[in-house]
Amino acid sequence: MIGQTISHYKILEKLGEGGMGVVYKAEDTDLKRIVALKFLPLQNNLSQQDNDRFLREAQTAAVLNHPNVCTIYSIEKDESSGEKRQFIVMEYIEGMTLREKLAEGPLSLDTASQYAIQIGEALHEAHSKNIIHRDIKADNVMVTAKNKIKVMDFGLAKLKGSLKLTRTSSTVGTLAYMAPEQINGGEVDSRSDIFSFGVLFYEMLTGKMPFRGEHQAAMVYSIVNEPAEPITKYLPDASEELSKIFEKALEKNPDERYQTAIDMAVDIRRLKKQTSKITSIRSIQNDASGFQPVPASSAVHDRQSLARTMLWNSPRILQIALAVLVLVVVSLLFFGRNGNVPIRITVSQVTDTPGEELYPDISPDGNYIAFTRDIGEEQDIFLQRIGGGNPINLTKDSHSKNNYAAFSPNGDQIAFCSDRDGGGIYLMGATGESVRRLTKTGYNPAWSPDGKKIAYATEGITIAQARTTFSQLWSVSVQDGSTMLIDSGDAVQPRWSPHGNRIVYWGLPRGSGWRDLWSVDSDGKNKVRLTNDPAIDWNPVWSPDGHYIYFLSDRSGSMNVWRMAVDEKSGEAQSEMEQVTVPASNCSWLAISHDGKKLIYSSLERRANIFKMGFDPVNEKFIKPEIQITTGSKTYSWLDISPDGTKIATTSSGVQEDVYVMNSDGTNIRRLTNDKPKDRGVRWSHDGTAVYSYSDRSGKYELWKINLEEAGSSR
Amino acid sequence: MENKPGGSGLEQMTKEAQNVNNPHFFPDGHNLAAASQSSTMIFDFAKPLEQRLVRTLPTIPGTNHRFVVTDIAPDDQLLIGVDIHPGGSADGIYTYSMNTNEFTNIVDYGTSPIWIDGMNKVLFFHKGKILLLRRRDNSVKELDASLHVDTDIFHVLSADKRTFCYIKVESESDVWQATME
Repeated sequence: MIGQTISHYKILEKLGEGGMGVVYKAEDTDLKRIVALKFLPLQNNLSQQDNDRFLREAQTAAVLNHPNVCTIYSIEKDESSGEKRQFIVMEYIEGMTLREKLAEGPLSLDTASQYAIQIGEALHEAHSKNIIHRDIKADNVMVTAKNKIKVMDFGLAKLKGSLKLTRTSSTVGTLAYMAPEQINGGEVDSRSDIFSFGVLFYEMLTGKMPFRGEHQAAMVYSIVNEPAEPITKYLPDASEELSKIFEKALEKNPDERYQTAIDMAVDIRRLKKQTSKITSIRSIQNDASGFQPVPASSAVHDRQSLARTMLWNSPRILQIALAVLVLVVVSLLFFGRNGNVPIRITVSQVTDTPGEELYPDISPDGNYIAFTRDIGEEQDIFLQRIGGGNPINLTKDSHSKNNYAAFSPNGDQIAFCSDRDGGGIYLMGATGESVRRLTKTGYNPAWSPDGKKIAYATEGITIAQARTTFSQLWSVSVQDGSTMLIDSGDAVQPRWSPHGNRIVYWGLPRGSGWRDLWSVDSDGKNKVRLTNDPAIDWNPVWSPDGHYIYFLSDRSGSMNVWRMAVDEKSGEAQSEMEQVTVPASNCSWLAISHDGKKLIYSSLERRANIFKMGFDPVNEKFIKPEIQITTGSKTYSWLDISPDGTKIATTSSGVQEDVYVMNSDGTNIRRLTNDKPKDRGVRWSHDGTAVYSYSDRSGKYELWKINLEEAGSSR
Repeated sequence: MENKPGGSGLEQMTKEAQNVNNPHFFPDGHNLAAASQSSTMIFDFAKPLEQRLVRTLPTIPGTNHRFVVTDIAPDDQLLIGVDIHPGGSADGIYTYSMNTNEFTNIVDYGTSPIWIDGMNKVLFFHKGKILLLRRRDNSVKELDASLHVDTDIFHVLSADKRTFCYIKVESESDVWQATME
């Protein structure tokens, strides 16, 4: 195999071999990057059902997009040798497995917690998409040189059962990490992963396993019937909080276990903050208790060998293979509106620098993107060739906020917004030259197809949830700067139809907090409402053939791409909405190429936690240290401190915006609302018995009062 | 305890033609200032909804800019807030007297002003910095250069002005391309 090219992958070296097949390091000759290819065993003995199951599992796992999850790029088929062989194309990671790391000795509480928090977040991400790992263990976790965790093989453990590799392989997972219900063949869910996660955290801290057995039967008995070895046996100084984490993670009954991985990660994070160091591991003689994880089957053993071989052959120092330009490909199938026209979607990551890359637009030739990046307090517009990795700052000399770049139809110019010289819409050449001001106000410029006009709104959009004004829609002549009011609003983010006769935009219906789509003639006549429900619909773009409007919506639970067929002349919808799934948990800023084949978007990950610090109003200074109150992946927004200072009210943001109250140290979190309406802007009543917020639960944003004594609550 | 979707004990406090947001209680505990898309409104929650007269504050003189209240002085009379441009950008900090109905521009930049030491000082935010203005001489100083605050995020000072609570945002966003075949 070495040196051969399969599809567009040149095989470079064998990384390992096991029951799951063979893993090779390979070069993707199309995308010029290094990948790992996992070839499954010959599929001739697989039933169609097994084969379909494999594809379904792998495709599901491929949707995962999280910094702590090893990315599956695609699942492909090699028929070159006359035999059908499926192989998985995955992210090539250089580092070591947690198993190798632990071979050097147990980890400090600080390091183990740091790893565990990342594993918990990876599990949480997968579980939120109904993906169960089923084989969490030290061999399936990679540690990079920067202590970044990558959990591997999500969703693939189930496949192992399908492959019927050995007599015992229908029980999926590695015995020492298995939850009791997994061993008993009961129903496996996310809580089974949490049990395995607990075992792994225990192993990280002690180098030992919490359940013992000199042979498989003894191990099975121990997991199912015996309590875990107290952590204090190996860590005499372990805190009660640490012991409680293990008690809760390793509960035999899933209902009494941690119910979510993020809950466990939050407890670990809190413990990490509280405990400075527990590093002394009592020396234990290597007696019968000094065991190693016992594989459930020879297939599992093979798989471990595979992983070890793969990683022993890898350099120890992290060098994520995706160096300058990261191009990630995930293949998905999207079925068109009749459900019978599959459209293959290949997804590539175009930028990969730390921080936010926002508001992308694609050049008419499809070869470049322009996007906005924060540079300190400024924002600059960058131009980058797709497939290249050297973005050029087009606005570096302006020392202001420059954003919302839009290529002109012939690609010669870029319209953009800038707050320089009082602000407005500006034009520049496609490489940043010849800047001139076009308007003194306006945001989100959109070119007419003939390049003679630009439509713009009077409010700029950063995210759909954040609106501050009632925005109007205008157009301006590129030649003479004359302006015309198109729509008195509310209207933002306009996009011109391909033949110039209509403009699509989104806005808040009068007296409502909804985000809906409209189209209107370019002269402001014949306004047509395209959506009319509480879902957030925003960022509409017209397909170049004028047949569809693509847009972003949270109507499926997370922000992703949707489309509907429209009549370009009338602007009327011609079909129901249908989802075009791209692998992003929070998709934002959609653009479409002039050939209609490429969608460009930003994948936005945001977390916001609450902190506090003392303040001395007399001496006018802050009193450190800074104390973190909340942890985890939830995004908090508004907050208020109760009049007596003992509690905090806050709201979550994102797909669901609810009101929470908690003690001022972050404990005893109570969720006061839990429904689709958006609750924001919390304020305590003066007697501390109620929390006020503004909410769209009546259809538009009004003030609401929540009486705490009557309020339902959940932890 | 079982969660009740939508919460219970919920009571609608306003019924306005426009969206209402960004509430701030007066120290008296029953008046509340909130922003709408065109102005700031003041509600007296001591009165039932049906009998309540809503006071609407004017726009900043000579402009169509909204005055959005961010804090109210202990005397219940002097409001402090931000001049919001129709495009949504902040255009300086103003006070508004409930007695005289007069606006006073105290600084031409900054967001989220909060009264400190009665009405003697104003804590506010500008380009990631936390600043303090002494009204006595209108001098402005940066309080803690090491504490970088994103002005887009949310923060609050406790009633005794001794605890500063805020939200830190970590975000990551990359550009992706989806090719449809």
